[in-house]
Amino acid sequence: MNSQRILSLFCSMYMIAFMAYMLAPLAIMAAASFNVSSIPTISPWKGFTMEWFSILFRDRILWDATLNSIIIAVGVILLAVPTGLAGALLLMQMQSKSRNLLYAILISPILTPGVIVGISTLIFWNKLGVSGGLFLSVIGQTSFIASFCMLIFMARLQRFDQSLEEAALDLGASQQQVFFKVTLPFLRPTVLTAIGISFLQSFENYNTTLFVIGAKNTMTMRIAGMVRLGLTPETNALAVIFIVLTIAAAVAFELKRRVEKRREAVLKEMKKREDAAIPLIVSDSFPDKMPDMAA
Amino acid sequence: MGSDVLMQNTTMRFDDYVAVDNVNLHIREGEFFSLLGSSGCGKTTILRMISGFLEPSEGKVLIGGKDMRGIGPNKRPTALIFQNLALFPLMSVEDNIAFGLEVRSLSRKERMRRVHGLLELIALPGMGSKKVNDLSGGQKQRVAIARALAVEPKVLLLDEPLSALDLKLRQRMRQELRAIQQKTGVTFIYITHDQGEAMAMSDRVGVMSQASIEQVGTPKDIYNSPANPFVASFVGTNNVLAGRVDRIIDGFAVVRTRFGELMGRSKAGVQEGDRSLLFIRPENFFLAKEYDRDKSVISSTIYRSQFEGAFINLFLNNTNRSREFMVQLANDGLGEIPSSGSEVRLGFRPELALVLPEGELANE
Repeated sequence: MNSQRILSLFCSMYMIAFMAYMLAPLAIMAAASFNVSSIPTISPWKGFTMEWFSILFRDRILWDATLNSIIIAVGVILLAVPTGLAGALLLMQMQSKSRNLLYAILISPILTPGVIVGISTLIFWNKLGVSGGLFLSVIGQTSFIASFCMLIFMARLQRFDQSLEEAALDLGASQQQVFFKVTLPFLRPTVLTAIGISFLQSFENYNTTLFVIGAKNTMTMRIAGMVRLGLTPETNALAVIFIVLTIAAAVAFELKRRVEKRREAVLKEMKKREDAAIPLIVSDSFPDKMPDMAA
Repeated sequence: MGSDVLMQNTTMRFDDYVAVDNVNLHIREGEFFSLLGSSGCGKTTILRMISGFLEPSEGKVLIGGKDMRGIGPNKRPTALIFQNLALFPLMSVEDNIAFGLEVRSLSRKERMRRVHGLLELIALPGMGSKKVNDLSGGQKQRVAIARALAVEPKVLLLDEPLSALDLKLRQRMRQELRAIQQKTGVTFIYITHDQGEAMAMSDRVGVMSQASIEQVGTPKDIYNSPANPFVASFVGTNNVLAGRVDRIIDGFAVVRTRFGELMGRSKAGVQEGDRSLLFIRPENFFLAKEYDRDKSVISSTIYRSQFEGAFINLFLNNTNRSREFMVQLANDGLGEIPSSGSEVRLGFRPELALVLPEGELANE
């Protein structure tokens, strides 16, 4: 056996070990949700059941908590995406030295531990007479999720051709028209990304929410509670649903990407047309007068 | 409202840097005017002051006699064609051209009527629904022109729009731009560093050096009668001989140069006894006969002879290493071709040589 083959063998074994490390816990966890055993395990295998799923679907407390999570996430999206966009636009247009300082301030919520963000939000709003609940959860989470959105928008804006805004302005558009007709359409895919990331960040947040949720419950809080009171395969069933949703989304995204790639290849083929093929404008083929343009 | 452009004592400063220094310029209604200069000379700054993206630090910009101070680019009767064209990539050709009409709240029917007229004008009928990224370079160029013309500007500003195209297409677009300008009667202000472009298309050309305008005139004027040494050495190819003016007779100056006494047309400001520069273009030389007058003949050794088909380029021994002395003889197909190392006598008509007061030359 030469060294080349040893190396390739080693690489394959490493890949197998790596994948096993990543995926085996998920597989075991998923399998446990179908085991009759009342603690989440696959050994001993006491038989196949869908019972844990039906218990999950009947768990009122969990679904109420999930609804709260969704309400908070929607609130966070509505606040964080516009705020992040505004911050990104501001920073991209600033030329002065204070830009770096402002940048540091605007991203500091990401660097601050979530616990601190949660506690300080609670203390501040309590002084104003607002106690913990869904509203404070939205506010607390927005303070750092808006920073994430801002970074996403800034990355996109760096690739924005400023002359497009100038061209629109030059053609008579007002500043608002420039924003809604040129800048925002350019940012549209990024807006969707920012919405997705905000939703996930909000949905899975625990340490900030813990302090500002008050007497209410979110899904992550509820799961944490279930773990404390003794885990049942019901939690595993919930995890299986999330895994399936994630895989479905990834597959859908990949399929869409492939369709678009094929479309682009077709267009590229069509574009390989010589400039010489377009008719000449000069003299003869020219209309005698400018087309009638009287408004 | 007229459509002439007037710049009065216009200066543009960026912190300590003076990009445009006290420029006075009048661009007439309906003319094709080119600003010719090397990169960084301030020509784009002038364009941005006319279009309203920059406010002059000092002086005024007037369009049609109206002071433009405080009027933004979206309120000025100008349209700019950007160097990179800046077509909206997410819109169709139609929507690009109609953009300026849409923001003016014209009805959809009216917009489409005008767009179709413009698509005819740029010879791309039926292409309205295409995405701009699916167009070729030349087609994009035309769409950019149509988009700018759609808003019926009084003045169309063009910022080196042909620089991204290949040579052949660029030469064709020159004719097309000129044709569009003549058909529409819109005042065109064209920025370029390409002399050929400026010469071929323009009614008048303004030659710029660093931050200021050196000469404004017809292409013929700036080539045949440059106002100063900068323009003489910047436009086209020119040979320069430095020397002292010996005497001036009937508008002709005799200059003592390293090739002996030579004579050329004397321009204003040339004084007897002053240091001056004698300019002779390469194409104005011919092989001299024995009886040709002395004051318009130079004798020299050829250090390089280059046969180019229609022309023969001769490079003369030159003490000034930074500037070559070039002579271009037409190839009549019969005569001898002077070879490298040979002695040659070259004559020129004094009317075609120019004597100017000493001054700064353009960089080679």
